[in-house]
Amino acid sequence: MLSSHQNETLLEVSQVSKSYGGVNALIDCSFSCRRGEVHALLGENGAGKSTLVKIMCGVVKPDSGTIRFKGQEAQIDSPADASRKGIVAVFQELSLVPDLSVSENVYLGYEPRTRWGLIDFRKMNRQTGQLFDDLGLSIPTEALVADLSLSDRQLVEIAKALSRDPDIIIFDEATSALGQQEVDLLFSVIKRLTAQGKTAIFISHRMDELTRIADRATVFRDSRYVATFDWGTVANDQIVQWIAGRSVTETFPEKKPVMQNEIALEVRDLSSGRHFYNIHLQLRKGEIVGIAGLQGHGQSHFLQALFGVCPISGGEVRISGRKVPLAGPKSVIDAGIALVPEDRKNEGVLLTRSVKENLSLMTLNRRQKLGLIQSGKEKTAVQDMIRLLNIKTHDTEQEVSGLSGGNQQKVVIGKAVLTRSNILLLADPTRGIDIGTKAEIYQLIRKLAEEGISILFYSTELPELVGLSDRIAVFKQGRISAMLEGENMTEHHIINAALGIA
Amino acid sequence: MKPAAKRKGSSLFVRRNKDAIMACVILLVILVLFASNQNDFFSRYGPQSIFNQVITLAVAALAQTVVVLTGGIDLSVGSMIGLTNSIAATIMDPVSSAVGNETVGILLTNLIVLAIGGLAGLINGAIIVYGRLQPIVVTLATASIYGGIALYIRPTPGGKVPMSYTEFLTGRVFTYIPVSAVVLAVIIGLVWMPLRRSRLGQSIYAIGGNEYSAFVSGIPVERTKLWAYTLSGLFAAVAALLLTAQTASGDPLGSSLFTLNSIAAVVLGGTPLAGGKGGYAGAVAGAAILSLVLGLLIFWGVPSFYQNAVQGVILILALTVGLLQKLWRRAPLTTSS
Amino acid sequence: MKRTRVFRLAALTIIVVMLGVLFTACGKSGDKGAASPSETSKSSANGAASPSAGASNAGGKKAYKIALSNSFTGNSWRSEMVKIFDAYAQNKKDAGEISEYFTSSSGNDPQAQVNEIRNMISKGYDAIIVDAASPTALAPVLNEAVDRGIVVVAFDNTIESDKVYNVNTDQVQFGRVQAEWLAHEMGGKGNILLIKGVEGIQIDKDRDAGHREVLKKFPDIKILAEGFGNYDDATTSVVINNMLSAHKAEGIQGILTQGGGENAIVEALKQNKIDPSTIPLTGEMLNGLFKHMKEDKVKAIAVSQPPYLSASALDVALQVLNGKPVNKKTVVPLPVAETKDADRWYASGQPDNFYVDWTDPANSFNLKIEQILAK
Repeated sequence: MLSSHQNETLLEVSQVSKSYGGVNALIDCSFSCRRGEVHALLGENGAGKSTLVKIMCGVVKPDSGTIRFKGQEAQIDSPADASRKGIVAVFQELSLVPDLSVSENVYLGYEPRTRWGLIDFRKMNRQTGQLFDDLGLSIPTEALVADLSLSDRQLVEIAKALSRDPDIIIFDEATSALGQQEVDLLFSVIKRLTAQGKTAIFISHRMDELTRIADRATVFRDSRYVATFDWGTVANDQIVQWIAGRSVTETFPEKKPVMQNEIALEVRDLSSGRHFYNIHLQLRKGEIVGIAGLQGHGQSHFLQALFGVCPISGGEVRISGRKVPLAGPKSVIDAGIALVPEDRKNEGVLLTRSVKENLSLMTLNRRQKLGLIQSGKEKTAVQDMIRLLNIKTHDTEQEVSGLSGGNQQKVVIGKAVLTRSNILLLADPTRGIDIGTKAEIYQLIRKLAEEGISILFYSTELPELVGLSDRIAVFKQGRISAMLEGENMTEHHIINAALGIA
Repeated sequence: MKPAAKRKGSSLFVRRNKDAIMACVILLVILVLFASNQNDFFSRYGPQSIFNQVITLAVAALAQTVVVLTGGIDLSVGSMIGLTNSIAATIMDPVSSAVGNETVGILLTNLIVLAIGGLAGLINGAIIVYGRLQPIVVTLATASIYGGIALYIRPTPGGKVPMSYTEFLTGRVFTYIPVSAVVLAVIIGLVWMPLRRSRLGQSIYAIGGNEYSAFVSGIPVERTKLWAYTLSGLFAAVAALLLTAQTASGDPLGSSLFTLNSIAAVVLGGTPLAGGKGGYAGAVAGAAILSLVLGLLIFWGVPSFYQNAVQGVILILALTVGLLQKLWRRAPLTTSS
Repeated sequence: MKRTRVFRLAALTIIVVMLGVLFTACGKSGDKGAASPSETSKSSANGAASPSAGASNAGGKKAYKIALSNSFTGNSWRSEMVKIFDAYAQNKKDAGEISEYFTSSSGNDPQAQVNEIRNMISKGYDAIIVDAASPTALAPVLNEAVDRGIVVVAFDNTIESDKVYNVNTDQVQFGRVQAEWLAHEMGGKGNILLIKGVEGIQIDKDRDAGHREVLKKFPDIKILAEGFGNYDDATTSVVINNMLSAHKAEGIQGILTQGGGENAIVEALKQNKIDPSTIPLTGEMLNGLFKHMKEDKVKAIAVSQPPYLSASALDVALQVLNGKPVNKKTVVPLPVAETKDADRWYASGQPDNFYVDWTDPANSFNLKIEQILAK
């Protein structure tokens, strides 16, 4: 923050355009960042941020435009080339190879070698260990990435980028999988790097995070550049308006008191190995219950157990008084529970299939007659859902991979809603989704609740939990440490309960 | 922050080879049964017989392994073996008489055959990489082409191979050590292990694990794939040279079973067809199982029509156990802790 | 971690088993040296009550262990050949000349047959009888077998090696016999159709050489058309129908075929409104041809590569083992039959592709047809 080259422009992208098969992803966009700053990129999903990032780190080549790096015109041919120049990215889609170890991933493509030209695994582990010590991480360096939690993988991804000792490091929604503690850790690292004259480009949808870390920001909308500003000089309302192109006045829908007292879902004494223990929980009809807690305290396993995919070791679950066999998704869906999973790319959607097929996947049986899918009936149901959820798609036949992240998530939710289940489980439903779409999803969840569907959701974002829930169950070490209601539902109380501070 | 506690997972060697354990256990059982049934098991002929039976498929399995690890598949391994085997048996004698020295002629022939194998593999790789085509389709097509060329070169099985070549490669050194065992040791110690510990090897694993991840991590994906298929062709040629020694002749179509058997050996050895993990240790064990189990049937006088069925049952058994292990230890669906 | 423990356990097991193997190794190497393996025979498929190897029979003569290594199965000739071997070997076993026998088919994969023979060597058979997948591929391993004191007899597909005993028929003679009969029937002149076998293989070349050698002596016999019938009815049917539609008008006096497609030829003649009894035909000793001889009065000669070559090979092996002088090359005379012999050869109730020459004309092998037909 004090170095002499504070205002020196490090990377400058001018008039860059890129289109994929006729669809514009980026139109005449310019962007520049300085040494030693944290530069935020803002915009809805599909606004062009990710494409710009891919261009800067050589994953795709721009159709036109110029890039100047360290004052000279530069061409970035491949990720390897970008990395050599000193630009690396922490990707939103994790760039880790699951079956390689942590240290092998960190040094992938840059492995230290012995004088025989072979990889020096011992040195690689040692260096990774040192790097992790420096960063304050306690992830085993010889563990397989496949065995790590999502947040640990994200941390490895960050460490991997840092190991290249870059001048510019791009964080593309690198915090979306992280808990509060890890985010704090990351921010202290970023501050240290910028103090050394490195530049961080930071993409996040969490405004509170950006407020903490960003020096400047550039806004994109509809594949175009909108504005660049020093953080703190522009009001949040204005930023939101730039991002959304309209003013998003009210993020969270109004809560209405739950009228019915009918218990829709009752969880009694549910335990699962070492994941969670003796969970008691009642969910009333039309109620939204949030599940809070630090990463890895049993919340996501609890949701999976309710969906029948995480084996339980004790207890039972009743829907409207009837016991539900937790023997797998099919029996659970039949009993009236649907799950919107956490990892939407792997578990939520079939990326290469159409919107229609994805939406109707879970309900195939209901629209079958004599073993054939009744395509007319399927189409009507699908179109209704697209309208209800406001999914931005050309038509029902578009491949899901062509939708923006937010719209993909809507497809996942729509798929679950179409099962006409009375109970909906949502695992981090707005992870990696832009503000505008987030608001839409909040509205949708509330609307479903008002129609009498009971919703149990888990989130890593405290404002979301507070804003959306009727009640909040806070998990700590696999148990519910507090059940918050009404006035008690504040971020402060959640943190206290999650940390076990009375 | 949290104390930098336990940093070590299970040891690297165990982790790398854990999928091969099933195959190793089966192989061990087979070897014990061999020991009690093969009358010359403990003589100098026993190991010679066993290694000679295993070596060709074991090398063919290496050819398949390097490709399967990238997430690809090579259906032309058998044809490349057939082609290079036919060429070797056809040119070995003329080349030897042309250079006037049998040993030099044999060495020269081996080099030519290796080059041709590497070229055939390179062609596979180039079509797959630059044509952006599915490996299964490309290698199925080139399998026919290479088979056709082999038939053109050698319309009927035959050819002339010097006795010294056959006797050396199927024989023994220092009275007790089968040359096939030496060859296998060289291939594991001087080819596979350095490859595994090279950046190329690491890249092959990374591409099989997640090609996009490998690409954004700066791995030269195209070059790595070209190398993988070239190596596949090269190792197929090595297998063919060993086959040439074992049969003292070339057979354009007789090696077609190597394709499926090499895939079976790789899978049996714990390498998933999706690639990214596993390795050669398992493939050698898999190849040995597939080759030796037939011997047991012969020792026990089991009628031969059970042979294929037994191979199939072993394959299914190994896969099922592997699958069960996976289900048993892995929490389903999720990625988080 | 739990997994590490599992691996440790596995590693421990492996070490223990390996030690066990080592100990047995030391124990066994001590009593090595007996000429013949002395281990008790594991439930051989055939040798249920076999005396142990190397035992002597009542006559004081040694009884031997014999193995047959066949390559591919899946045609009637091969399966009949194996059954004849089994039946004859059982006879020999009953007579005390053989103590144990085993047959195995490796498929049409030279490497598999090489491995099969390696294991037969290890098993300690006194003689290995081979119908090879490839004429050259087995030479090294069979030489190895001979070097280790095993008698090797190859038949049908013979082996190019001076260490191996070869048993076969003369396939050029096969062609000569067919062509001479046909020329005689036609009175030395007329038009014929020539249907050969499988392109490129040695048997086809040999039989064809025999055909042409004879035809050269009859300049008045004209070949209207020739083609490859692949020794099967399906291919032959296409070839003969094409030939008939092209050349029927010119008049056909005879059909010279190496064999295997006789059914198709007779059917094609009937469909073309030609009485099959008017056109002399050559062929193999297949049941179908004899049926046509009986039912349609087809005039034909049948020659054969006899499936009992396996039995002849066993005879050769036993002679060598018993120290009798045997030539490295044994030529078995060809069985020949004409229409007048049809009643004697025809096997009623058997499929058309049954080779009727399941024993030599004199039945010197002392076989009964029930033995061959038994499953």
